[in-house]
Amino acid sequence: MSPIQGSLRSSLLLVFAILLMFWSSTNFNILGLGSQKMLFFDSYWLILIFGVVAGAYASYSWGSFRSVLGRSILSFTIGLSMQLFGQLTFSFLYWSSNGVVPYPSIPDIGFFGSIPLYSYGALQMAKSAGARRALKSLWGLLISVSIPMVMLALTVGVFIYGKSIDLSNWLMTFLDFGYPIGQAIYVVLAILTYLLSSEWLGGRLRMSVVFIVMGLLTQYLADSTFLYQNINAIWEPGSVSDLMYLVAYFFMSYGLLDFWIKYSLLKNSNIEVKRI
Amino acid sequence: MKNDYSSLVAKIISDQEAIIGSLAVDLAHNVNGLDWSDGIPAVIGDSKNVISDLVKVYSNLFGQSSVAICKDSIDSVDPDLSGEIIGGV
Repeated sequence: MSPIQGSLRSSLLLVFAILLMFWSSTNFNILGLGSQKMLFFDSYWLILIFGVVAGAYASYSWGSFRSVLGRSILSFTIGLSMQLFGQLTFSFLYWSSNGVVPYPSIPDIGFFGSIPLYSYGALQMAKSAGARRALKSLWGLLISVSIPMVMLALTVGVFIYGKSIDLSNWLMTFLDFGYPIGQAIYVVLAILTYLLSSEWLGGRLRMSVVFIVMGLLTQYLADSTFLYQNINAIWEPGSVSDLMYLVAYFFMSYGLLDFWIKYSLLKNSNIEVKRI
Repeated sequence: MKNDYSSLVAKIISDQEAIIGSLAVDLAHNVNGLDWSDGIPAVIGDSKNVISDLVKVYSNLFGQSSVAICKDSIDSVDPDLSGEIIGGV
């Protein structure tokens, strides 16, 4: 591991710990910080900087467009950049319009734009981790059909059922349907990546993959919680959905950084081959 | 036969390169019994041991998933050989 990678990892862990303590202080009114939820909301995007920097180096190292793993890492990195764009523009609009952010608006370019990138990244990761091989078994086929069906039923039941189609506001209608369906697609791909490759997946890159999958799962929970809070008009800045976003961004950033570190370790090590 | 094994090694490396990029070639340089003087790998040691060692090197990445991909590469050239070589990994 290079000194830059070591510093980046230590800084990422430190910033995550500080932001976690900050969220706890604002939500449980520790040290009189109960009124600072907005400040937390305006600062936790910082964690994304680590993911974008580490992801750019990791993607370049693993072959970028020229390899399956490079394309996967690049896709997740651009996805995180889109989230960063969404977070920053949302904060700007929130402050400049006295707490009323129009929907749809500029931040949705970033938030919705990350969905196809996450989906493509998960698909490429499944390919590199050998998930396709499990599709040859009955168990693999069974979960590949049942998990998408369960997620589709959940998504329709919780977020789509009862929604009307308003063609006069086609963009809002598109996003109302597109957000929950798109999020369900990338989380299904993440779950299938892990389940289909779990029997085979090992080696030094196993934990990097696990961190990315955990990041996608947490982001799905965060997105679903935010949607639920928004539909029921109970969302406020710095609430539990923002804590979940922080954790999701941390897992994703740590996973991308881990890919970069593992690349350096593998490249610089003379792997010993033990003959049986 | 020597040339057949060299092309099999090249096939394994090229399939791994499609997944992990140029690191696949760097890792193959760690395997004893491969001559890179012409810029492409040529098997100069015990062929089956060299291929088995190459598969072991790649198994450091994704574990058995990487081994399975190597097995597919070997199967595409000589299906009878994979059991003999992968069985020892």
